Amino acid sequence: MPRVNLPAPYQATAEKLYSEVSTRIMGKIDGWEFATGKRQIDELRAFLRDKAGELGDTMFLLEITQQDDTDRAELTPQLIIEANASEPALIKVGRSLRVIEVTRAGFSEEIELDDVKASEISEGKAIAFREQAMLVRFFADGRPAGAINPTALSSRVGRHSRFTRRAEDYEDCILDHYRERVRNWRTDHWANPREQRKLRAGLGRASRTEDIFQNALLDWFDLHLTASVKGKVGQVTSDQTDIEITAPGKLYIVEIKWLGENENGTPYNIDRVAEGLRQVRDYLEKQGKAKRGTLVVYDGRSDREFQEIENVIGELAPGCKCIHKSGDDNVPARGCCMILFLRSTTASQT
Amino acid sequence: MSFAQTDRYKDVLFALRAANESGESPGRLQLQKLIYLADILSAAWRKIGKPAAFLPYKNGPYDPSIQNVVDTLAFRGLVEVTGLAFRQPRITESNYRLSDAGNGAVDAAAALQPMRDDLELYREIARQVDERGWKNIKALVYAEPTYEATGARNGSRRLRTDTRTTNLTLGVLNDFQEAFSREESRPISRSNLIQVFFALLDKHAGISPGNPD
Repeated sequence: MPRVNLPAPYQATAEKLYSEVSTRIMGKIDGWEFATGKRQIDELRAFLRDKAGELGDTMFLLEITQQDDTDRAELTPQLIIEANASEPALIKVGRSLRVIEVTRAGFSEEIELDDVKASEISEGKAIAFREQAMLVRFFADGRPAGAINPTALSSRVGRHSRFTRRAEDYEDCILDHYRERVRNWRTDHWANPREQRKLRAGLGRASRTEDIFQNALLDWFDLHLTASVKGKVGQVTSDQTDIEITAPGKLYIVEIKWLGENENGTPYNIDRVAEGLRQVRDYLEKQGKAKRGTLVVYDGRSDREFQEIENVIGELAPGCKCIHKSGDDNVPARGCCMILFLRSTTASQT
Repeated sequence: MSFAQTDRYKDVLFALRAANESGESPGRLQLQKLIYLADILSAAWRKIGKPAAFLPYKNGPYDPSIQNVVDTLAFRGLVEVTGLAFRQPRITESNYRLSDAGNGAVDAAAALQPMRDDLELYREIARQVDERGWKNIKALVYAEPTYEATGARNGSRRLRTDTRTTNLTLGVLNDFQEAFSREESRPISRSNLIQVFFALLDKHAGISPGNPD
């Protein structure tokens, strides 16, 4: 069947609509009305922007429902601050963002309110988590449903605008993440960046070294890509890939590998790249609708070993090499392989 | 009476019923546009295509059989005509409402499931248009990608609404639905699909729903 040749402005609008918070929630919460939800998110954004000064650094949770809330109390900064004074509260709001109910969030004050707790609380619910003045994350039925920056006036249901990318520019998004987060180990992947170059074996909800990079990249995509992003942490079948990026009419896949040694003593050498290329090739063959697949390799080996990588097409950025082949395995026609060097203070010492 | 005209009896009756339920008695050209939106969306709504009928016209997409049918229904007492005014020779303005007999005909037709399905589509469209203001239906139709892509307002080529390549709305909604079913745990409902469509039009028509004035 021939592809629809949709005018570019409509395609861009469709992608943006697809990645909006109300759309994401619609796919996870039964009975969620898209248009009502869109209005609620816009109104919430305006409220948080206008009341940012009064709310200060207050972190809080809102359960967003589409129940009738006629004659209910107005949502105010004072109500939010008082509700969260002793322990985290869950404030339930209705169609007009009026307060239906205030309950305890269900965990003690010793446990810090963060995105992991917000995700857990969102089982069967749509939750807005105000993490800071510039970041509100949404979760629905235990999964991320997008984020907004209420203070960015130029974006409607917006994202951090400086790094916002469209779905087809996901590889540029990977480089943004590398430059902003990975290269200076803000992803906290080193067991001890000042000593030997050993990667962590786990971090928080990441139970494997690979999951540390995958979770970090997923979070970055979620904030900056106008697309839907899904990760499969710890997958065991060859039919699944690490990350799927979906937009109307588009599907891209990302496979993640790491090289070097982790604190469990597990070593991974350059042969893993060929393994990753085979996985990408197999997936692209099975998934005809996938437009492109990218193997991202985080290289924690020595600087010398990184410089000795063969079959290099070019350097996309300092510390990022793009290759066309590894061993006997070529990068597939609809694919790309990026090897990203992991800096540390001991990079030159091996 | 032509086949096309026969087909339009249901469309005119259902369109008027849905609009009247929203409190609106659509004018001559508004009725054309309302039925055009239903033609565009019916393929996505229940995957039944219609023969190409609309021509791009200087006042928007136009199917002469629709006007013939509404005039016939008015003659037979199923449609009430109000606000009749003659602007120029052969150009009249009027508003339409279903009579009690017309409403009875709709109720009888809607007893059949496929017909009831079509009526629901008209109701959903009328709800969305009502939220944006009926005076904005022209901007909405002009922003619809199939009509927008035809370019010429006086073209003689009929607007086909039955295939993905000619009905651009069907194409983009199909892509949307496919991506949704791959990614999300719940399928997108037809009602939400229509809401997404109108959100797409809002951007290009420069309309803010909920502020019809």
